Amino acid sequence: MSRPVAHGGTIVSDSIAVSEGPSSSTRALVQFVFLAALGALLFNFHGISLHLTPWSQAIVNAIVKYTYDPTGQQKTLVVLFREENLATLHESFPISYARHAEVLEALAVYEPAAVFVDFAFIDQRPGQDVAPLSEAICSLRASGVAVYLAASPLPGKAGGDGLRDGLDRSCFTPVDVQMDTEIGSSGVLTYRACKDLTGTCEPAGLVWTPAFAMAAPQVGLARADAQQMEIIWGNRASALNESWMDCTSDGTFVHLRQMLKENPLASKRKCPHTNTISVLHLLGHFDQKLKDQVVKGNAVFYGGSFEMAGDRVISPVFDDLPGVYLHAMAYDNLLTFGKDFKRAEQHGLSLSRVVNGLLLLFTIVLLLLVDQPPAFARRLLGRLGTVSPRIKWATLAVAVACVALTAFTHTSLLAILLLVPLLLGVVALLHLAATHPERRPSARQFLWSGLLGVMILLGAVLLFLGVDARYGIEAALLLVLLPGYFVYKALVARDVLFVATTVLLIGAAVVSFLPPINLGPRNIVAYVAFFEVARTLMRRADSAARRYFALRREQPDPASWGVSAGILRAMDWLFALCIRGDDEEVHA
Amino acid sequence: MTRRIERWREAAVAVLVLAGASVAGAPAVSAQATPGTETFNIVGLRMNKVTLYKDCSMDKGVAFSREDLEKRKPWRATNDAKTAVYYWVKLDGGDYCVKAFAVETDRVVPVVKDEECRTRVAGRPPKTGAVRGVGESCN
Repeated sequence: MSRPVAHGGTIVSDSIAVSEGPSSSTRALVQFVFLAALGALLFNFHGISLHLTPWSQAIVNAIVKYTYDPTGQQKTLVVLFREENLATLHESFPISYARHAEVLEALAVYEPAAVFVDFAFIDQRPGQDVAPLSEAICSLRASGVAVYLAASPLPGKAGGDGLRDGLDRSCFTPVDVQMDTEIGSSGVLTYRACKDLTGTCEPAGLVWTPAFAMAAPQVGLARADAQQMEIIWGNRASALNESWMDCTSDGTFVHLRQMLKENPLASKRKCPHTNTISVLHLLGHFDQKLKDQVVKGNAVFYGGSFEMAGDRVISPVFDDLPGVYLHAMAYDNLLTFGKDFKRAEQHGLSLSRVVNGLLLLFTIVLLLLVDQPPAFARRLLGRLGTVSPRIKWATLAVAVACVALTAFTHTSLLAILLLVPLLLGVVALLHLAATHPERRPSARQFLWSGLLGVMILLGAVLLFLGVDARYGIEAALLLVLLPGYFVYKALVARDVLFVATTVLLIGAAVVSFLPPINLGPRNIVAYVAFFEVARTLMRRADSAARRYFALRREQPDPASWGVSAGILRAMDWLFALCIRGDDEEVHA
Repeated sequence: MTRRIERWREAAVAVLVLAGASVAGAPAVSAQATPGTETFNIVGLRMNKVTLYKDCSMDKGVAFSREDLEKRKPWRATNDAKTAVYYWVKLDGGDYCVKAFAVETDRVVPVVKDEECRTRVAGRPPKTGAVRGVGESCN
């Protein structure tokens, strides 16, 4: 089959000019604009980004499981008033002031550093005296414990904090307990620092959220540093929780079925990451070991878990939890990352959006180069091949040194250090894409690849079942599914560029996660999927254009197309835009 | 051969000791369940003052200080499954209860029944079209 080629702005086939077409640079520009618009559309209007969030999130969960520092977990405790505790304590809902006072008294005995009470005392209660509760709060404060009370988010309530009168305001700090909305099936991924989401919490009158208010003195956070954070839901095991909770998982086959039927987040963990005791444990016989190892000097989050009362938080890691765990997890993050806590996406031109834009730009540029690179790109990037070996080795040494420094040092400029090898990797990949176009496999390779593909699939399924049963679904995803897909792409599909692109995108996500950039995890799966979808789309468009020009060559008369010569010329121009690559001579 | 067996024995003992130490080191809140009522002595107060409740009625509180305790040592107390977080004591012929966390005892008092065992904290509650409390006091 003869192949039409673009040559200096003229679409030619077998040396017969079909029509005057756009120049190769015009085609590249139009294709770039089209891909950018497509990317913006898919990422901004809840397209692939939202649908692929669970997969990205599952991978993030797996990474977090093995890398999240236990600092915050060791210093945080949730004291939970459970539904079943009501009957045991002869209580009813809402819990009486006297019972809350008793819990605070018990906490004073265990000597925590700070206590957040996740119950909002808003209304007057007939027949109940608030004085014992107020006294218990003040007594706790007098013993050196910082006390934080959930303020009402409702406007127009007396006292500014919306809490009822009769509570001594000098003994506690009111905190804003408003929860951010859920994001897709991942759940709540962000946590505000105060009511204001657009900027910082600098105005002194703004009430902080519990986690920020409690962690600020410990990590040296100023009001100007407090921005909406992206929560990293830690999922370490807690020996304390496992000692009394039912933490059994659903089982391997249930995981596999749910993952295939819905998404990898359909099966979540049953036990929280945050150390937890119930009020019965607290109010029962005094436990010296519990005090020494879990409570003393730590932050306590006292909350409730009641049926039909709302206050649940959906997380990407755990089945629905009582709302108090959101504050505890945010506090845990602040202690773990300190001032380098992960910043959430904000309105307007934020750093997060800039990074997302750069990732999209990189993906698009690669899409334009991959498979059939334009001549000007081959010429430009081909010059890299002429660089002397000494410079190449020196560059490689610099990249390795930067990676080693990142791994073994703790500076606040880790992202800057890692940016050097990342940029070098980008240049190397662009060079590879522009100068090594895809080769068709031989017949023998085709058969061998098919066999290898089946073997990889079977091996991956067996390994997945084994690893899931032993180490959980996160490990199975991270250690089996992802490497399995990479091996398939590299050995069976022989798409080294895809593997290299994914590695670089992951590298970019790591760089944006590290200080001083400090952004939350990126949705890498969405970028990779966009790369694959757009690549297929461009191949289809290229093939359609080639078919069109083949037909044009066979039937050059506009009458046979049923349109005027002018429309046909416009069609020529339009289809010419879809053609990728050109046969210009490359003069390196 | 004998030396090898001894070495294996030493290793096994070391593993057992380490395992025991690690179990002991992990904080755990579920005490062993022991049925029946226990009798023990209260030897101190963890707060300056505690409140004793006549017949375990929360509106019949009596303040009790460390000095009061000194006069009554050894002060016998019992636990009861029905009042899980209180101990029962005798005071001037009457039955009173005292908050369990607030007193020091001469030995660890096992919980009569740990109701929290095998609890699920995370879970998906059924979705309802009502909120707790609405309509309860309409009549």
